[in-house]
Amino acid sequence: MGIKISLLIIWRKLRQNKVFSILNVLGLGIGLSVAVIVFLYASYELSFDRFNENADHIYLGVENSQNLNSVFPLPLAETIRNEVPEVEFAANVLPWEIKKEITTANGEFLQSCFYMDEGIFNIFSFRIIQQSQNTIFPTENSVAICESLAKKFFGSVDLAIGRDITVDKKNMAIISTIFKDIPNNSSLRFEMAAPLQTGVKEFKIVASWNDAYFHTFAKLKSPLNQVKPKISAFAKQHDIQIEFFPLTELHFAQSGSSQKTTLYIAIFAGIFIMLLACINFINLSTANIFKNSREAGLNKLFGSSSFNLHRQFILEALVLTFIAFGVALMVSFLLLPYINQLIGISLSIGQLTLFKSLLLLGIISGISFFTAIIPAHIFSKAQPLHILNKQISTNQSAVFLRKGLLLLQLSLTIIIIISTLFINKQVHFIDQTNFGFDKKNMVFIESENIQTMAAKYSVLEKELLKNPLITSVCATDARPGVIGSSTTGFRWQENSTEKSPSVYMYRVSNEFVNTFRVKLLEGKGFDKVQSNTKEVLINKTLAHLIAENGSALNKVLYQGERPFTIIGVLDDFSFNSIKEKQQPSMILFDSSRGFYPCIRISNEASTSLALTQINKNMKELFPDMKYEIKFTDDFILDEFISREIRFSKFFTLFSVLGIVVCCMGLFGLALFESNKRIKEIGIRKVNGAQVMEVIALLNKDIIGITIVAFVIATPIAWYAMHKWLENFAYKTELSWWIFAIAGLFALGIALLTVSWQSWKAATRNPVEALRDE
Amino acid sequence: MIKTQKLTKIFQTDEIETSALNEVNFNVEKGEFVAIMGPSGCGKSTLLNIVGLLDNPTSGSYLFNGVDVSNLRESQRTGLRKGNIGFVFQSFNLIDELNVFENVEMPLIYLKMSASERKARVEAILERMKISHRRKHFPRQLSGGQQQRVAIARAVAANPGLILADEPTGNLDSKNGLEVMNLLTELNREGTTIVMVTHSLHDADFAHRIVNLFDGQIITEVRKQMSETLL
Repeated sequence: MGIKISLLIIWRKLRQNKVFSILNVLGLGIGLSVAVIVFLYASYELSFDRFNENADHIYLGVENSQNLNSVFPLPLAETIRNEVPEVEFAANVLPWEIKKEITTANGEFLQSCFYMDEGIFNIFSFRIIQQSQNTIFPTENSVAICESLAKKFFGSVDLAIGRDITVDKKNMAIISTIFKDIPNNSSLRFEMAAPLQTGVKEFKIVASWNDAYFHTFAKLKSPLNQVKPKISAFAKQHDIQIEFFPLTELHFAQSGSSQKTTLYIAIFAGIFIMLLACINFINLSTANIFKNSREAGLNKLFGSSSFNLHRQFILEALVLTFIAFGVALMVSFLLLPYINQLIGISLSIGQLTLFKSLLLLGIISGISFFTAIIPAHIFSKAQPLHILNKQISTNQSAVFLRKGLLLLQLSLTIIIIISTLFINKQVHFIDQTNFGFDKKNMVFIESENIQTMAAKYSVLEKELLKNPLITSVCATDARPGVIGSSTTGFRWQENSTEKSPSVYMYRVSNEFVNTFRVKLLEGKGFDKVQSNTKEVLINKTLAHLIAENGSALNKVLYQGERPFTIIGVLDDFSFNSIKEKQQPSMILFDSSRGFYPCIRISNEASTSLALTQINKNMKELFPDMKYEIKFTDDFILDEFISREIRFSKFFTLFSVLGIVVCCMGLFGLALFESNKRIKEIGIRKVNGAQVMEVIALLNKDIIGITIVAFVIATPIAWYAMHKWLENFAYKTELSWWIFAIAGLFALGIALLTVSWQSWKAATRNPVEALRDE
Repeated sequence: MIKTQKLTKIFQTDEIETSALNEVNFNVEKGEFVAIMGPSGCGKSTLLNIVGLLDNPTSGSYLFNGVDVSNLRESQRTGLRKGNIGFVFQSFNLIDELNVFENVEMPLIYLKMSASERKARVEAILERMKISHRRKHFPRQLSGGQQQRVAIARAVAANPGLILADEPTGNLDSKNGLEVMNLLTELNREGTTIVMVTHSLHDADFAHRIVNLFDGQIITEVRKQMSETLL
């Protein structure tokens, strides 16, 4: 039989068996779309920072591999470059995102800016499009901007280069360099950069080895293992703790090991759903083949060769597969915008290169080949009359294979359901978790000019406290919940030369304890009237380090020669990340760094009125300054938990798709089974079976298989969730009732899906059933 | 036992309306053995299906054991059928996935009989049908005659008052066919009412009365002892 006729027969079969065809194509299409999306996501995540030339030679300076937010003193970069010849480039970045008001001919813009050494552009492959001179920052008032900013400010790159801009309505800057937009998969991303020295001056940073503020990147000439001894020697010589962490591992490490776990979970979920879809495809296709075995029997009867028989089956499977791939691309196209929004990246079908597309097609063609080859082999070996008398379809091994695949499918679905429920439970748990301070009913002000804010903070505080709806106010040098800096410069024995571990530092004004409502375990907070700058508060973790079995209260910490007395010990509070274990932290009194006023409102009902008053005070004191009042709980949610929320939504979406695919398969199999058992159902009804008894008979198998699937899935899901939860410092329990809900849910869905077909079959007139046979 | 009056059945599809039965008055007394004959398409199986409560008439009445069953719902018909009517088909209609014992046991399960009682009854019937040595075999492992004996065993397992047989020897050779007809006769002698559709005059001769159908109407009824013609 020619290929043309074969294709015509295939097309007619698809039309005649519309339900089967749609279930098959749609099910496989959805599964493939998940595979496409996961493929794109995995490619994106695994390619992070690899666009840089010699990416394997680029490193971030860290104190140790557990602390990737390490900051270092200003002199480090230049010194290490001079003293370790294997360091080709080393450069600092001030890791604070500073909002600047930019005025150009095209208007006014609020723009984030980072201060950095121009050596960053030697380390990273940020492509320079245009430069006014041969250097990134020829002068202290130079700025470098990305291409899209250039277009935003001036309409085009050519019009932007060398142009003046006004910064914060008072300073002039020149656009000296324009670079290509930094890709999303870069650990270091910015749109605007200014010289590091400008930032040092602006924030009055002391260029000493004792004050650490900067992230330091380096590019090596040789592999790290060859340079390590020299770096260790350098560190020892300068009394500093430093290691080099590979840039290519930074993305996952910085996001916490959960980011990698997230990727792996996404890959596994994708594989699971792809597997579900393939199982569906195999089950439905083989069922359909056996259902329509007359054609194969007649072909054999009239002399069709084994080759022709194989070709027909394989061709049919391939046609279905290719149609499904088309459906997959359409579904992916529709889902990607939502997924991009969920996980905060930018994936598109266009990123599916020819090679990747062919790879995917190759995989699914392999699946369809496998699907077709088994029945093709069975039919080619069987006698024509056996085929025509349908002695093949009741073959026990075919039945066993179908049930086995269904069991696998249900097990995977239950694993996905359990995982989804636990992920959502964990997110809810985190959201409710007490971080050691009261984030509700507290707002903070984020202004465009934090220096101006600090200068006038004391006046603002007085005005705010006149309002009875405001219970307390304090100012901090970083946004609530975010540690601004850390240091290893403290020690607690006067003459000790022992290095202290890294200590997080938070600079605040006097009402920190009352405003943040952190729990004071020992001692007192800063004095309301006259705080002493030589007094500090520490957290429980640091207190334990200082005095393991006793009290750290009244002990003295030394930074260089400067003594600080511990006047209070606070309970641990989580700043920086809910995944991190508690870090030693200290709170220093420094009202000159009151960059972010934090305001405790008396109760939720008073919020609106309180905000009105705060706005009034701000307008009076800072009439020309842009600012934003933020709710601390929303900020914390967004800063630390939103990633988990997005992940849970991402996983829930996959879970829903997986359940849809599974249901499609169940529906198709139920249709097949009820068709296959038409005669039996008719006989049973003739012999007295009621409708419910027939339904129970048809559903019996699915109940049994679901129970077995639950038993298989539960320990696997438990283990997976247990491993995932290990990434969190705060974690929910692996409650037994989640497993029960998942099992009942799976059973409910399975029964609902098959019962429709069972009911149709059970209510059919037995006369028609027996007549059709 | 069976009394129909002006029984009519019309089958309707999108394009065609077929009158399978046309105001048929059909009576069967308890303990009778009645054969229904006629050419293909005359309405024999339709009449049998309605008598067997497998289908409802379009119009007319049907009294079964004095109860009007013309317009019962499916569940009511099933309830009435259980234990009261047994069926024997031309193509045996055994369930391929069940063995002989399980096939015969099936109607007793729907009668909610206890397992021990079912076992005892099925064993007795299989013994009577001389098929108990094959109790664990599946239909595909039996000959045609054996399969039909199993079907008859299933039909009588619940001790129904009425057996409906639709061409019970149609797929059998003469020897097996005779065996089946002897079985049915034996059952009738024990008191079971039998209504049988057949093309075979030889088989019809076992009956007390032969009813001839043509184009959905009864045209003759012939009693074995005496003739009576209706026009």
